[in-house]
Amino acid sequence: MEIRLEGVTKVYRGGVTALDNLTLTIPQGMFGLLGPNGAGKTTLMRILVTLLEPTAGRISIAGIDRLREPHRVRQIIGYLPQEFGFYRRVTAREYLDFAAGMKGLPPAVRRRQVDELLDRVNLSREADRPVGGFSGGMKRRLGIAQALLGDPRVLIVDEPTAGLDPEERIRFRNLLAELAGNRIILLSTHIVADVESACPSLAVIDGGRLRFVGSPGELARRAEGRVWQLELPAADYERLRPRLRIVGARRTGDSMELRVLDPENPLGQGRPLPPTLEDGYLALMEGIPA
Amino acid sequence: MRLEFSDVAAGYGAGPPVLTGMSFSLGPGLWLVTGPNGSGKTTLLRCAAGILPPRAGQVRLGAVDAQADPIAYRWHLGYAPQELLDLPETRAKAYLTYLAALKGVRPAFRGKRVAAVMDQVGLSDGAIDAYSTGMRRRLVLAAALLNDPDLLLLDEPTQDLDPAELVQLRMLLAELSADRIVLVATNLPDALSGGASGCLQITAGGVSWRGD
Repeated sequence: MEIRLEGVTKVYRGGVTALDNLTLTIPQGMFGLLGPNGAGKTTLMRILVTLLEPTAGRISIAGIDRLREPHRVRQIIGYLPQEFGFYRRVTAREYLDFAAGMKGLPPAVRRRQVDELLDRVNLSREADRPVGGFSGGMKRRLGIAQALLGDPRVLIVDEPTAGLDPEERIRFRNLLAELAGNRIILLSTHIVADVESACPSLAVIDGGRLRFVGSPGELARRAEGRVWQLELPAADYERLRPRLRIVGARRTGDSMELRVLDPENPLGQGRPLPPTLEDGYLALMEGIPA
Repeated sequence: MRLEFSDVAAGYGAGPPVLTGMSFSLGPGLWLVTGPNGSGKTTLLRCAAGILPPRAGQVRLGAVDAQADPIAYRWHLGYAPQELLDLPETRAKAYLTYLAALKGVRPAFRGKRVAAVMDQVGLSDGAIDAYSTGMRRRLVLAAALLNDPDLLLLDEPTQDLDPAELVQLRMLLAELSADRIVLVATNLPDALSGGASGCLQITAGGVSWRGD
């Protein structure tokens, strides 16, 4: 089972190209999608879930032709958008029951599935409380329960951990990892650490084009030998700053401890550091040769 | 100059207390406020901003008491809240110029000051409606910097930023915190901790740990 995109292009009215001839295969399991704001990530996800039509290209999702049979795609896909609203006074159970009805689940299946999903996302105890009083993490979990109604084989989640506290984030990440066993989960995020810990493979898109596809380790290794720790007197920092590609800084007394991304040893004084996924991503986006 | 919380208790309306007996004293540097959602990070920032009067205790910046002398206190303050409030349908530069006037930046300096803060946050002028959420986040930060504050309060400034924007923010915070107090409430402490002087972790309304 996989998602295959071939030459997918989306040009919005007004001429903005959001996706530009994108070819990508997304395998089963968790797959991360990284890229700057405006890269085309949300456009790609909206096309996959049939909310938007591409201008050109071919897409198959678990063997189904996305363009010819969108109704069949909708039967196997769940979507958690970045922003979604709830009616504040509706309880979690009522909300899921309503969403299950909208998805066409028969009443007998509906009740059982709603109970199972509330349990799965750890909201059984809060099932009969109004959603208005839920924390951000609880709302996200309810959102994922909604996306899981009908037991979809493909899950598309857009920035699901934004606004969650560290503990909620880890819990949510673990939940996604659990769900990934026999599904495709496409996770779009700005939080590099989420991709690092949860996704065996990822893609980076920028300006609607594919810039990288591979494992987090492979992306991090793009910055191998290009990450340096450099200590400078604070007095020299302002003068030297424009010459350095600094990605981290810490002031300690009268000196500045810097993390620098550079193909060459900066000022001949750097001490090499092991690259992180963020370093690899930045090296890629900055066009620093691998 | 130091930010001092002495035995501060705070809450909303007749509701239960969110902060109780909170005391700390911070000098210039980058300080992170962390803790689970609902623990009181935003409430702490609102008290530090003088927006939420404490039920008990005192908030002082240097010799100025936030409640006794709110105007003098705000003179030293920059605050970027978490919610991106309805920003006006205008251009960024016009909006910041208007805010600069409200913040008392003298007419002769306004243009220069607005250009300086836009440069600091890496924002070029444009219609605010057309900005991405990351750009709006930076606009709100620029607004907080207009009066060159001694105390800068940022509530979840990393939200909506892509990884490259996050690096820019990190560098900007390192620069700003050299000679002022920067207090940042965040759910992504790892993304900013490299440059931080310390961390206030709040649980159940008190400061549970502080790493210097």
